[in-house]
Amino acid sequence: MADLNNARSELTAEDFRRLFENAPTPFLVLKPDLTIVAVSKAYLAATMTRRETIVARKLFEVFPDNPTDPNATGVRNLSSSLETVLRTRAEHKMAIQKYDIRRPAEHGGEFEIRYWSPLNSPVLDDEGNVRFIIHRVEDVTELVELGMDRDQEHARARGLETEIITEAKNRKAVEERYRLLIETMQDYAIFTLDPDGTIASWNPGAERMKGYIPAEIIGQNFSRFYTEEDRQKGVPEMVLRTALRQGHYEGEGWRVRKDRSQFWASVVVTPLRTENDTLLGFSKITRDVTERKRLTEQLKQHAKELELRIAERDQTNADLEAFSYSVAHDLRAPLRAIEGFTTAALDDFGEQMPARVRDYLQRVISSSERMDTLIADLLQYSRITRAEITSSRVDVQEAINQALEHFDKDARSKIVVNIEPKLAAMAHQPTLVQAVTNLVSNALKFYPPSANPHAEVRALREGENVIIQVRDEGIGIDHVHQEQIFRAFERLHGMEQYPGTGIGLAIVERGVSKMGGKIRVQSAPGKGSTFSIEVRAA
Amino acid sequence: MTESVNRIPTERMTVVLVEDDPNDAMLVRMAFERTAGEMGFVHLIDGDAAVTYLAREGPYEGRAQARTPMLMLLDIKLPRRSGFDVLKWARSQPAPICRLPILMLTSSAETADVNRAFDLGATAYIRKPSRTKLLSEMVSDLKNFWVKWTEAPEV
Repeated sequence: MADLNNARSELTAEDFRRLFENAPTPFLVLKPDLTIVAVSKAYLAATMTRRETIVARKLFEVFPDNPTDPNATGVRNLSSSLETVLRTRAEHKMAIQKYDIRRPAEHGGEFEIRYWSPLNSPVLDDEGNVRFIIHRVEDVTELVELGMDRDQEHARARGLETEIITEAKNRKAVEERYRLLIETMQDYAIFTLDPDGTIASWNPGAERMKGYIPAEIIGQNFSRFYTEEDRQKGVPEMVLRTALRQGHYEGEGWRVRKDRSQFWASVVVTPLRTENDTLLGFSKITRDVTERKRLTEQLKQHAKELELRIAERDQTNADLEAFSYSVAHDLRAPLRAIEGFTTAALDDFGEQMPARVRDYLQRVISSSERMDTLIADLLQYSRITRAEITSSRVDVQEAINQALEHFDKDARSKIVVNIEPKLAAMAHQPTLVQAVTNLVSNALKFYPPSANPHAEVRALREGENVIIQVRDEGIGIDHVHQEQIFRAFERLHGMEQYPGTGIGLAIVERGVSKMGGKIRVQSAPGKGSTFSIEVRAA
Repeated sequence: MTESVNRIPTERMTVVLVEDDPNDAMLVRMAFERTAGEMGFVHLIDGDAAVTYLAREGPYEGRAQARTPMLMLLDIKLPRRSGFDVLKWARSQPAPICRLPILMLTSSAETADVNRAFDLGATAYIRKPSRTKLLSEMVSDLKNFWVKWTEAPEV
């Protein structure tokens, strides 16, 4: 401590300024309002600026975005990082930025493409307020231009390696450049092997990935990175043999770190040869892709679960199919007998029966008929629920005609039809026909007993959709019931008044929504109802 | 114009019903008795019985030659040997068994069943009418069509 104080006391403010300005790192000191207050020589050199022209000016006045680059984000990103620092009072490291620099006016004043790795750190006063921001940068233009695109990491590694091989044949200065480059490639373990697999060089990326420092690993055999199982199977030797035979080896597998933990590696091995083809050894580039593998496995797992669920659903559907088949077959058989023998009794012995007995038997018959209708409707509802509906082009006129065929002549005379010509919808024809049939049948049904039922069927195009409307002037539906009516077995009226099973509209709703369409109702008591089917136009 | 040689007097015609539900069978029989009483009516209770009957085996070894089965009404859902099995068997037999008109009479309305029936050589596919009135209509239409309009094969 005493030494430090001594040392400090020896330095004058002038010394500090000199030290600061000559520090071999490019940085800039900003006030919280982003005025430049100090700058290192390295920064001036990197940005082709002079101290006297930038100090005391606002940062973004001095360094605007390149106006010729419409995608420039430098100012936005830097300003957001500085705001973060001011707000959090903590250091903020920015991702690599493209931030072009203007050449001095005497050199034409044009912008030069530059990539930077900036770090912004706050300098706090005694109260903890931000007094300055140190904006430190590293010019990574060269690295980026050598292909630092993340998406092409693999290709880049391979390209890099080719270059390494080429460069190996070149001069020392160039070698030095690539040594530096390799050392900065933090995401890759890049090392070389002697022809027998002994490790000959080791970059910081390798150190970080595998945990060994160069001193403890250089001279060892690379097989130690493999799992015990792979070593016994002779995988390391196989890798080198394959690389020799094919000029190249690419593969993935588990690798072991110094602390025995494992990671999933993507590896490229290439033999290194002299110009006269003598084997120098191998280069090995390893990337940790554990996360990618984990995601892939997760994806596979999800796909498997999905398949399982689909299989379960298919099974459920098959069960339902069997169930409704048996409902259709077995449940209706006794009904046929009830209705059949009651009818036979009435036919054969009706005259000998008291009137009350005949009435009772008549009721048995109508009840069994009603139950039969109910079962039939229920079956249809369940069929439409389960059915896989595929939509295709349907001629609306034809579909409506088909629906109207379900009505007798008398009923048809009460229906007015109004269809825009050449109207086509994306729909499932039988489902659409069914829906229109049910709506028309309801339209003619829900009238006061004394009234003359009538209905209108309209079809028109509205934008991207086809609207099919069925309108009546019957009893109408109170607002509060307008949702309920689309649910199965919901009935608003007594059986005496308006007989029915309460499934008709549920079938319409289910069918229309299965076709990706919508069903709506507009109605008020005494004012009639308009049901609208909306499906995509074709 | 000559009178068809294949026309058989109705009193020599027999309708064979293969139906496991005794109620259904009885209702169909009653409908036949009302509307086509002069025709013969044989009720067989399952698929095995249908096969032995057509093959003149077992209890049907000596069944009367006079009574020619003119058509068979065949249910699909039958114990052990299904209606489809009977149909398949009949169509694989030598003449005259393979010629017999076989009409499926079933409660199933599944398209798959209808298709399968015709694929296997069914003559027609009829859904069991759910009401007495309709059943009577069906029987009377059947009689009209088969007796009045069709030429029967030699069986």
